[in-house]
Parts: sequence; structure tokens; C-alpha cells
Amino acid sequence: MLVQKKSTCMLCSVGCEFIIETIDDEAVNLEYDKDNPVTGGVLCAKGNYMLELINHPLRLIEPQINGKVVDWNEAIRKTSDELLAHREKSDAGIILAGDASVEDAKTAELFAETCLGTGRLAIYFATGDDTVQKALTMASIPNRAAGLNDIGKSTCTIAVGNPFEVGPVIAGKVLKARYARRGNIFGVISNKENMTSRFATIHHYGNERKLLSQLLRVVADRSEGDELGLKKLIKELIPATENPDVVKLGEAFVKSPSSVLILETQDPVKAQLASAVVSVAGADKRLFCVNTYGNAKGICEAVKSTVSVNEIITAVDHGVIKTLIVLGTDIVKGIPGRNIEAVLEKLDFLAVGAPFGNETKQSANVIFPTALWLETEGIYNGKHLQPVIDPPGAALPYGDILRQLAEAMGKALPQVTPEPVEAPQQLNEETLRVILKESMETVPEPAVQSTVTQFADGSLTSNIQWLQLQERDAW
Amino acid sequence: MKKLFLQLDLCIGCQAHSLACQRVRNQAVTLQSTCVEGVGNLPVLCRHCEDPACVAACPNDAMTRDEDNIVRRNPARCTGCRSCVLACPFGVLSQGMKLQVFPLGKCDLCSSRVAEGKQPACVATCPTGALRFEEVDEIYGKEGETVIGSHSVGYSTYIRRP
Repeated sequence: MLVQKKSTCMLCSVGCEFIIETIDDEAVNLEYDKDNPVTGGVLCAKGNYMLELINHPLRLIEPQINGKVVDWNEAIRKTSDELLAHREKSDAGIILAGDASVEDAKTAELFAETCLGTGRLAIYFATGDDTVQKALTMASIPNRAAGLNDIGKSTCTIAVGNPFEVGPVIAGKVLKARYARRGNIFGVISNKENMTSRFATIHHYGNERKLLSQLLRVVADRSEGDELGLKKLIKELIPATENPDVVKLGEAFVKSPSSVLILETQDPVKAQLASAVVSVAGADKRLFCVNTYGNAKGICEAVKSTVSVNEIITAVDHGVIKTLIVLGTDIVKGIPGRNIEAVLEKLDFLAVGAPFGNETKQSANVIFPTALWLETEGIYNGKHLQPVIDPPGAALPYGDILRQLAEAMGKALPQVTPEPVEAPQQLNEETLRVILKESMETVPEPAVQSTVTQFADGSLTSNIQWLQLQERDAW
Repeated sequence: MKKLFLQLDLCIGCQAHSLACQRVRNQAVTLQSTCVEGVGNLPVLCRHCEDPACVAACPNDAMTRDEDNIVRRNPARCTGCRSCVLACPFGVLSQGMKLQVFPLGKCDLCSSRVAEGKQPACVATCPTGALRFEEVDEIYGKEGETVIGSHSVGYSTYIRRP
């Protein structure tokens, strides 16, 4: 019988909803959720591939030890034995993919503390370091987050970076607002011409950090209230700007009855500056953050004690960490500019849990098949999602695998219930001084990580049928 | 008669239409993207012309225009000679269309989906609402929109704010 189940896309932070049609618990079709009040059922190129993600030919369904298919208990026993054997001699680390649910991330944090005894947990978000994580926590202002519908109604929208490329669904709302009335402003601040800036009424190319700090000054000069008490400091630290585009944008942002700042978050400094602009401009201004991982924000707020993936890799390289668990992400392909394969060879033991066959799996001693977010229950970005289908074969969610491992190691991990989210820190004078100092430094801009051709962690890039079709030249 | 239209003001070139088309039409991409320098990747749409050159050019009667005014390709009759590709004045069929590999690759305005009361896949997925599936008469009479090249063969598929 055909059953329709609603779910949410986690391939970027916009969170578009769609319908998966199942027959006898097998996903057969993806349908557009036409009646959705927020998006109207539209999906970008990434979202259209949801069905292929579920029924992917490279899905892992059986646990393996050194390339041989084994049963669960054997794989768990082998992993726990190795972890116990190495615990006295060396450190252990765990890397978790950014698409895990909040519960799974909390379980991983508990596992790192109680079973590995090191607390070395890294969450993987597109870049190897923790800039995305920092940026996300820094860009949150209480009660000021904009929804897609706010963007659709705004009369002045300023985009920083290239949000249209990361989340094309945002473009629909922005352009609707831009064309709704003559005189509506859509400004773009970016380091070069891009997909977003082509649609701007006002755009300025240059260093995004510098331009944002200039915008902050203009906004501080023009706005009335001063709820954070930072205006004096801003005027003292940032020189007045003559840049006509930025002045025009700042004036419009303050004057307009409904203004939204859209930020493509990759850089913590820009995130802080953007949240400062919105805080200083007035109480009715809103901030919308776009990032490449759907659940990144939820995980960042729930899990505090993490290190960066690059730090773990460096520790492996120096022989500090000898046993490593990698869950759900492909670190070999996912971290550009480092020869990860050579580093992984220095490990005594590597356990990989992944939904798909990937490059990291090649060096793994034990492989666990894992479930995608469409197959597990959990909190993703503030939404409680139910599974639309069962995981294939023996695949299990990350949290269940870690709990089984802990049990085999003689420790019981409880079922985690996420705590209420703490309100993020308010911007104060000290942090403002630091970010303004940093914003004056010219740094290379981090590249946009998600494009049409690049999925969540980049691991599926070479496996998408569409790309293979593009490469195959029949002529 | 409903046709596909592209509102140029709204197209950001994300290529979602192409992927949706591929998914619905069993991996055969019928809606292609072409790169317009300085603008982006725009979809190239079949106009389902009134007097289609591809139908006239086909030596095997594989290309037909049926009573619903939809130009279709019959995969059983198609030999992959590419006469239609050469004949199409808009370059719709030649945009990387791999006839031998995908004999199904021809836009039929998702007639099976439309019969079920849904929109064509490319229209349903378009993130900005640039692709529209609307009555020709309504589109031509709308205020505040200009149909570009409306005197060309068949119907033009591009609209823009004046």
C-alpha cells in the first residue's frame, strides 16, 4: 500500500520539507509537498537526490572486519576489545558527522568521556577545523532568527557571501521580496561576483569582514536605540566610511520596517559582525544563517566539549592517538590539502561507521553500516523527525552503535534526552574589540562548501549517477 | 493549452530542474541547461512548436505531435540518426542529448504527472518559481510581463519584466 510520509531535508540548514512515498516500507518515490506553507514544496538539486541517497547502490548493509562480512556481535566485540587493549597505552578519538541527530551527538560526547576517557570528540562540518562550529554559535542572537517567510516579506535584504548557491530555496523568497514593490532593496556584500550578486539592487565586492565592519559603523551611526551599549565603542574603533554602497545599504537596513540580514556562515568573525549589525540596528531586524549542514546548529548548541577534526588528525600524525572511530563522514576525501590516507596508516585500529562505501573505509579494520537521518528518530535543528523507512540490512543509528560498544566495554550509556538550549552569549565590549581587530586582518575567504555537485560531506560526489552521466560522452 | 515558461528575472541557474527531470523520467535528462555568459545556466525548454521542424525531419516517424499539442519521440521507432537534433532551431534536442543511450529523452510536459493533477517535475521543484506551467493565453495577457521573442516558431518560452 502506498503510504506518504513527510520529512525534512538535512543537506543544508534551510530545512525544506518533502514527501517520501513508500510501499511495504520501501521508499519508491519522492514527491513535492505542494501544500507546504513555508516553501511550497520546492526542492533544489540536492533535495531531488534524497531517494537516491536512501536506495543508493553503495549503501553498506553488513558489518565487516578487515573486508570480511561478519555479524554485529563479532564486530562490536572486536572493536571493544581493541579499544580496551589500547586504552592504557595511548589515546583514542572519535569523529562524528555533522548530520547526526542531537541525541546521537550527546551520546558520542558521553561515550568519549566515559569509555574512551579522553573526551576527544570532533564533529565534522565541511572544513577540517572548527570555524563553522564557532561561527554557528556566534551568529545566534536570542529571538532574532529569521524564518524563510520573514525573508519573503522583508523590504530590505542584505546577503553576505553567496547564500543562493548553498540554499537555492532562499533565492525564491529573496527575489519575491525584491520584486514585490519598486524600491525594495536587495544588497549583496561578497568578495567577488557570484550567483547571488547578479540579482542585487546594490552590491559591493571586497573583503567581506571589512565591509561588514563598515556596515556596522553605518548602522550604529543611523540607528536610534542602544540596547547593548556598544555604540560608543563601535564609533571609537571603526573609522567612518565613505563607501557609498555600504552607506546606502546601512541606511536602508535601519530605515526599512522589516530588514533581514542573510549570512552564509563559514567564518566566526563575520558571524559575530553580522550579529552585531542586527543587534545594533534595532529590535525588529532579523538574521538568517545559511550553512551546509542541516543539523549543525542543533549539534553546536547541544555539544560543548569538542575538538576540531584537524586537531585529531594532527594527534594521529604525532602518534598520540592510536585508535580512532569515524562515524558517518569521509575524512579522507572531506579534508582538502592533507594526505589523510598516510596519516590513517599510523593508527593501530580504525573503526568506521558509514551509510555509504567511502574512501575512509579502505583503511578501516572494522566497518559498521549506519542509518541516514531519514531512517532514525531524533531532533534535527529543533524539529523532532520521525523515520520514514527502516534502515537497510543491519544498519543502525550512530547512537545505538555507541551504546552497544559501551555495553561491551562494561559501561552502560543512558538514553539521552537533549536539554533545553541555553541562550547564547550576548555581545559585549571585550568580544567586540577582539572581532573588530580580527576583521581588520585580511584573510583568505573560506570557499563555499556546498554546491550542486557536492553533497553534505563530499563523499558522495563521485557516486552520483547524474555526474557520471555528465562525464560519459555518448557522442 | 498549458506550456512551460521560464521567467528570466527569477532564474538563478541552480539546475534543480534538470535533476528533477532526470529523476522523474528514469534517468533521462530532457530539460537541459545552457550557459549564457554572465547570466548563468538557464534551462532550454522544448516549445512543442505548432509546425515542428524535428517532426518534419524525422525519417522514421519517431517524432510526432499528438492531439494534446505535445511533441513526443517514440523510442521504438527512433534509430538515433539525429536528424531532429540538426533540425531543431532552438537547440533543445542538441543540448547534450544522448539519443542512443537514452531514447526516452524528450520532454512530454510530464503528461503522466499532469494527468494525476500534479505539476511537471521541473516546475514543482524550481526553488525560485522561475519555471511556470500555465495557459498560453493567460501568460500573453498578463500585465507587467513581456514574452520575449513571441513571433518565433511556436510559442516562446521566456518571459521577463518590461
